[in-house]
Order: sequence, then structure tokens, then C-alpha cells
Amino acid sequence: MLQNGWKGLPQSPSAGHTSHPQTSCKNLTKQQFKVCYDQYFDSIRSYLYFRSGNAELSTDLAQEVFLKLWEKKGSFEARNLKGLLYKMANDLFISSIRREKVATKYLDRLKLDLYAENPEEVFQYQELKDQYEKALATLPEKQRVVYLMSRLEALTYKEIAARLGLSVKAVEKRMGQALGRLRKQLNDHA
Amino acid sequence: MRDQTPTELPDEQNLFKRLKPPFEQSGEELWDKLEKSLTANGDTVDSSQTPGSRRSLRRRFRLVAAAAILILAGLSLSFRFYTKTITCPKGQMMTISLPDGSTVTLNADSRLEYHPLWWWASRTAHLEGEAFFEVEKGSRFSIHSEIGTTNVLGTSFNISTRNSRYEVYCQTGKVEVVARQSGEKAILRPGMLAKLDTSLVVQEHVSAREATDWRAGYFSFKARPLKEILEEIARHYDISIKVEADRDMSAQFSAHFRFPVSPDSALMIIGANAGFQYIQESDQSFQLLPQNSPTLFPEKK
Repeated sequence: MLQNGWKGLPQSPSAGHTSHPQTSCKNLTKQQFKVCYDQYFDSIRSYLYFRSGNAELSTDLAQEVFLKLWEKKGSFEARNLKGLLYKMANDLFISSIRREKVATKYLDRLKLDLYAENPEEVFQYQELKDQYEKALATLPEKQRVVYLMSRLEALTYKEIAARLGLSVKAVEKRMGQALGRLRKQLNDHA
Repeated sequence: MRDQTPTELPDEQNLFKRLKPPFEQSGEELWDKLEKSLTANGDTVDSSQTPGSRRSLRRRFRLVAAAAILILAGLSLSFRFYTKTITCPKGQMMTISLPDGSTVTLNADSRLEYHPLWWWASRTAHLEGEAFFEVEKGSRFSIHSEIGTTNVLGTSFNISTRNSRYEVYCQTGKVEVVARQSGEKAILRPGMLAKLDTSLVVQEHVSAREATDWRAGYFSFKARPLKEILEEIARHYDISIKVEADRDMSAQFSAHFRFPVSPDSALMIIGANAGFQYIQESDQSFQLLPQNSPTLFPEKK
């Protein structure tokens, strides 16, 4: 549904021409922007979290991604919007590391919130969650991102590939590696 | 052979169904703040700008975004700590709704404190007195009192904590009770009652009658010391009841009856049970007569 809305955007005039206020079709409406935000904000923020393990940073950067998107609104092709969003998130993430050395290379554990039906379930899954949190932190970023997009966001390999700009085979390879490592980590501590 | 194909890890599917990244605010909540930055800068951006001015505009974006984030941080701090206190005075009962739709019915002389603006992030409240909770399913809901804490995830239950007593009755769902001093924990199912005395004790097959009939309009005492019975009556009617020093206040009695309209009817019923007589000294104050008092029946004033 979103793609249809975006396909209609024409290219912006080249630099140097003044734009007339009447040609408003080149400007993204706030409604279209909100639809895009509703659809992808959580995913972008999660993606940044899977990489950094820092919830505040992920939230700040995700908002910056969408601010940037709004800023660009008239001047890009919206053919692969989700790919673009992930690329922007990646670029912002890397420059934030360089700029402020915020994200540490070494993650202690990747914290996740546990939502259970009752206190017994919490008790049942708490320890397993702890093990996974530690194990996930030991995965290389590339593997961890793909794994969590699959398990937490329940995305298909095809979808993950489209978003990250990879081939499906590449996604499969990273998943296989991630599962292998996780199995080893979890078995060692079981 | 199964181990070689990348199949599931231990309990993987069940676990990840129940996990989420630990973000404090949802995308929807953050939208409002983001939207303000948009109208400030987005609408006026002209794509035909020269690269130089675009850079300065970008810098301004950064400043606005940074300022917005600072304001956000300051706001969320005040959001987090803004406290609402609901006090139910003696002689009354109150029912209130919490922001997520959960309801709380407070008994006389009870107090509930919570953070309404932070409710969506974390449902935590402080209770002194007695209240019945009906909690909407959702994230963890915690009620702290001085001696104990009760944690739930969508259920209905009664907490009674007065003086050094802490009692929790689970009506539906499941409830976890924690003794604050000793750290003892207990999980209650419907019909179970937890009492915290010197240690945490759980009783099973307790009927709703005793624990929650105050909401239905009944005084309900099961083997309660006279002291507590009289205190309960005093709270309910907002009266004072004076007792002679020689009376045994720890003697236990049971009674179950509809809230009488007037306090002296209540005292009459309890008096018949417990063997005391009393006089009404004024509208709001009563006096129990000494054990061996000659007066047979008190006169209504």
C-alpha cells in the first residue's frame, strides 16, 4: 500500500531552478510521511538496537533518520524506500560511532524485555532469556542483525535481503552461522 | 541428523514470541515530538537550494533536533515523577480508573499513589490500606506497600495492608506476592490468600466472601481479633470507638453482615457476638462499657 503512494512522486527539478509553490506534488505530504513512519520506525530503531545494544542511541538515531527523510522529501527516488531507510540508518550509525565513539565494539549483553502471561512464565523464561542475551552479544554484528530480524521481527529471509540490500543466499549464510554460534554458546552453558 | 540442519535452538520459538527490544517509549509516543520538528523546518525546505545553504540548514536541523531531545529528556523526567495521590477518607469507598483501563476500588481510609504520565512505560503504584484491583492484561503491574509488594499481569485481586498486616487475595488470574523485608515470594491462583505475619503464609480455597465482600456491601470477619473488627467499623463510619483497658482485644470473632446504615447497629451485632455493651457519646463517638457493667441494653440517643 505504501509503495503505491510513493511511486507517484516525480523527480525534483535540477538545482538552479526556482520551484513554484504551486507545484506541490513534488513535496511529500505529512500524511504520506506518517504512513511511512508508522510502517518503518520500529524496524529502523530495532535494526539500530540489534547493532548497538543501546536503546537511547537507537531511538535518537531512528528519529534522525526520519528527520533526514523529511528533509530530502522532494529530491530522491522512492523506488526502494525501505532499502533507503536502512542505508540511511547504517550511514548515521557509522558516523555516530566515528563522531562520538558511542557504540562500543564489545557488547556485554543484548538486553531484551520479557513479556509473559503470568509470573510462572516469567520464571520459566527468565534464565533462558539471560543465556540468549549473553550469547547474542558474542555474535558478530552482521550475524546478529540478520538473526534478530528473523526471530524478533519475524521477517522472511527474502524480506531481510530486500531491506539490507543482500542476496537471499547471503542472508541464509549469516543465519546459519548465527545459529551455529548460538547453539555452541547455549550448549556450553546449559 | 537434526543437529546438522539449522533448526531450532532450545525453546527458541517460545522465547522469542515473548521478547521485545527494551525501548521506553513506543514509536507512536515519539511521533508527537518528531512532528514538531517537522513543521519547524521541513515545510519550508526548497529542493533548489544551493549546497552551502543546505549545509547550514542541516546544522540547524541538528540544533533543533538536539534541543528537542533535551526538552524530551526534561519532559520525560517530569512525566516520570509526576505523582497522583488518591485518598479515600474514612466513611467512604472510591473506585477510580487508571490510564490503561485498570480499576481500583479503595476501601475507607486508604491511599493510592501512582504516576499517570509514566503509566504506559511502567505500571507501578503505592498502596496503604485496602483496595481491590482489576488489572487490564498487559505489562507487569506492581503495587508496593510498606511491608509487601504484589506483582500481576492482568488479573483481579484484593490487597489489605493496615498497620503491620499485609494480605492479598487472588480472585482471577495469577498474582505474585513479595514480602519486602524477608524477600519471600508466593504465587497465588484464584481462591488463594497470602498473609504476611512473621513469615509469608498461603491459604487455599478461601472464598471471595471473606476477602472481597466489602465491595459488595458486607462486613466480613473470619476469626479476626476484636481490635481489627472495631478498627474496621470505625474506618467505615468515620467514628471513634473507645475501649476500656481491661478488655481482651485479641480475642477472635467471626461475623458476616450487610453494612448497617448506622454504626450503632453494627456495634450491636458485634457486641452480641463478642459480649460487650456500649454507649453512644455523640454522633461520631462510642464507648465500650467495662466487662462487668450492669447496664443491659444501651439507649439510642
